[in-house]
Amino acid sequence: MVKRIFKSTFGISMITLLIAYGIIVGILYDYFGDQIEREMKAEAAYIACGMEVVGEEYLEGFRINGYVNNGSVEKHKNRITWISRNGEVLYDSNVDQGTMENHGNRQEVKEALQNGEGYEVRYSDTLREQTVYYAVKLKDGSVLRLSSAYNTVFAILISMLQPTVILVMVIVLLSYHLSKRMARNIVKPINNLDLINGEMEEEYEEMVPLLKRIRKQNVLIERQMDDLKTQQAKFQTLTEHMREGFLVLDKRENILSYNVAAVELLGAVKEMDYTGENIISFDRHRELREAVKEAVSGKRSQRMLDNGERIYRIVANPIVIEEVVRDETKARLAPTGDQVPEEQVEGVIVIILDETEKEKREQLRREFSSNVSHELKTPLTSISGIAEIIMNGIVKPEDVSGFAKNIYEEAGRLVGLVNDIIFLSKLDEESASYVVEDMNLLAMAKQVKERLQIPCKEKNVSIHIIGEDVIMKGIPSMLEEVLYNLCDNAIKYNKIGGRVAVTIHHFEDMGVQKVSIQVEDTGIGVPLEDQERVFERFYRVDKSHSRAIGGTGLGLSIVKHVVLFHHGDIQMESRLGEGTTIKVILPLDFMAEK
Amino acid sequence: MRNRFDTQLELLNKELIEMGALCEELIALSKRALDEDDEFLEQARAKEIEVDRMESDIENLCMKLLLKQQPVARDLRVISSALKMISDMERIGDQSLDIIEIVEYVKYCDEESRERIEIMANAAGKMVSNSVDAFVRRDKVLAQAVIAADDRVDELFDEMKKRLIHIVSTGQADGEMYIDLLMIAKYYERIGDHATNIAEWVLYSITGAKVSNGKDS
Repeated sequence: MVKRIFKSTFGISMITLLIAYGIIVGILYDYFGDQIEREMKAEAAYIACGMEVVGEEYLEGFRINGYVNNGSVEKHKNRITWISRNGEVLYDSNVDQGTMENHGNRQEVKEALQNGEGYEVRYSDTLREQTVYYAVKLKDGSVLRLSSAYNTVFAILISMLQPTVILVMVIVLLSYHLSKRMARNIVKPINNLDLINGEMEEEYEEMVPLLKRIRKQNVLIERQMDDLKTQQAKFQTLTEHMREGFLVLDKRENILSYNVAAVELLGAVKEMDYTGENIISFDRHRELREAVKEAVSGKRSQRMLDNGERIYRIVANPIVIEEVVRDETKARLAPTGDQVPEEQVEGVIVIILDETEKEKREQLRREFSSNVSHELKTPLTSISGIAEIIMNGIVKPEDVSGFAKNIYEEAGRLVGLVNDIIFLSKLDEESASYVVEDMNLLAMAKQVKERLQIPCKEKNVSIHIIGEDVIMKGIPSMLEEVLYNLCDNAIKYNKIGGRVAVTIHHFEDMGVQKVSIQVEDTGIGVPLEDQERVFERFYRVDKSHSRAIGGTGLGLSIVKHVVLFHHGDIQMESRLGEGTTIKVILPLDFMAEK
Repeated sequence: MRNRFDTQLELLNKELIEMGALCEELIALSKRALDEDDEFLEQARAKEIEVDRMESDIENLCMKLLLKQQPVARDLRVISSALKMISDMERIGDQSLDIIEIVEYVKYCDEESRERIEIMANAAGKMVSNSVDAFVRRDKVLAQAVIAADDRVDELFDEMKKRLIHIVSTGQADGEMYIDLLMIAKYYERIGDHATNIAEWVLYSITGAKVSNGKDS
């Protein structure tokens, strides 16, 4: 603005200067021309008068220094020529009249002969000089002519060039600075305007409507900003408290917004501000990138991301701008399964779900089914194999009973396995009705010991039951299973000649009556890395599924389930090669505790 | 013009991280190849080709940026360090593939050797991840940590070497397999060196001072 005002004022003053200069020169020139004409006329009149009084000799007085051919000698200001009626030059003040040609057809002489006086202006070749001629007819019919040489306008202009240039420069400098200052002064109040809360008295009344409008808009913008901030805060609070990671990206895959959960789940750095960064700066797992890329191309996509520790489901959904209605943009998520044209995609929403637990359960379930099928298949294969041999008559009649014994044993294993599975599924369905009874754990332990006489003898293991009579409420069949399984394991995984100690102990823990059942053996022990897993279904420390020891791999799993069913707790301590201690703690009345 | 320059710098940044991620994937594959029975060679080859392609892409981008935009100061440092980083990343990709190519010959080595190799693989992999992270976050401290971690990997390699020499000299096992094991250990050690180089270039692009610990690459 300053520039523009300066340019126009400076331009205007320059133009005015030029025009004024031209006009003045013109007027002055005209004025000088008139003056010269008048002077010449007056002089001519004097000379004519002089001649008439004095005669021809009068003219001689004007010839001062004789004839002058060069301009070095100062001439009489005006040249005087006397011309006879027929054009012959009778006298000339500057040149010898004898050398001069006939002047009868000169314009001014002609005019003078005709009208009594004549006036003519002739320009010299160079245009730098002009000669003014004035002729007057004397009483005797001869003509007296005066001529005077002047500089032309052009010459005047040239001669005035130096002062003019100086003048123009001074004016230019002056007007340059003045215009600049003026422009600044004009703009200054505009620059100093307080647009937000200034007074309405303005220096320029022309600006008042504009200012009013601006202030109105300011108020509006402020209000909208407040709205936006509130909305963003709401959004932020909502997303911050989500357990799922949440990211909003634009279509160039740059992050617009993200929540803490996303940072935590993907292991980004909390201190960094990722807003505006590419998603790849946030996390560079291929699965995430691929999902985002697909979403940007308009397809809703899902990926599972396994970072070695946890498993995440990544859902990337393209955002489509549906319509823009009066400044309000309506965005929507692209419909599931639909392919949206890429150019409609305005951004992507990424949701990250932690599915580690779910995936783990899924895996357990898969393992369980595969284990069950494997465990069921093994005895069935041998049964069917033996049956086939018998069917084909390869077996001698006297050997049949031996093979039948094998079939019987394998079938027994199958039954045991199926029983265990049924028992476990019953435990899984808590709805199964059991009768809760009072029972004596010590007595039950002694019964179990009786049942385990045969395996004890086989391995030469002694069982010692120590403790007090404890009456607790529980489901006898289940708890007997627990004791049986614990003792059975303690014998099975014991060394030859080892011992098993079962301790039943009643105690009080934080006002709750509890009983602990501790089964201690001197067996082979459980490696540290397997201790967590032995309670899993079908998990075996010895992965060869060895038949030497037998068992289904379900025993400890059943124990754990029953203990949990009775709101108890189970602990395991074991040293490889030294023995294992399993401690079960049960509340005396789990129903009351509930 | 500037705007376009900025977009291209962003693209460079993105592609570099992507290439780093590919290297991480390759190292992860090399680790899995040691543990699992599946065949990873095809997958790894495809990724290695991808790494090579990205190297030439990024190189072209850098050249274009250098010639057309004539960057100065920090931008120039970023671009020139990118040019150096991609060659280190490319080497990491190559060496990971080399590991996967010979890993099947060492599958039946003794438990301890395998464990040691795994420790080396984890250490080298961590260094690569951290160097890429340092680049992503422009994190000086992390870059310096990577440079410091190289000593540990070198140490692991020396231990491995001594152990293998002992095994072979006492004639405990098949010499060929142990030479392959040594190669794998060496590859991981080299990967660690390249990660160090990357970290040094990250430092250079941030501070402008070239760190040199006298190691060549």
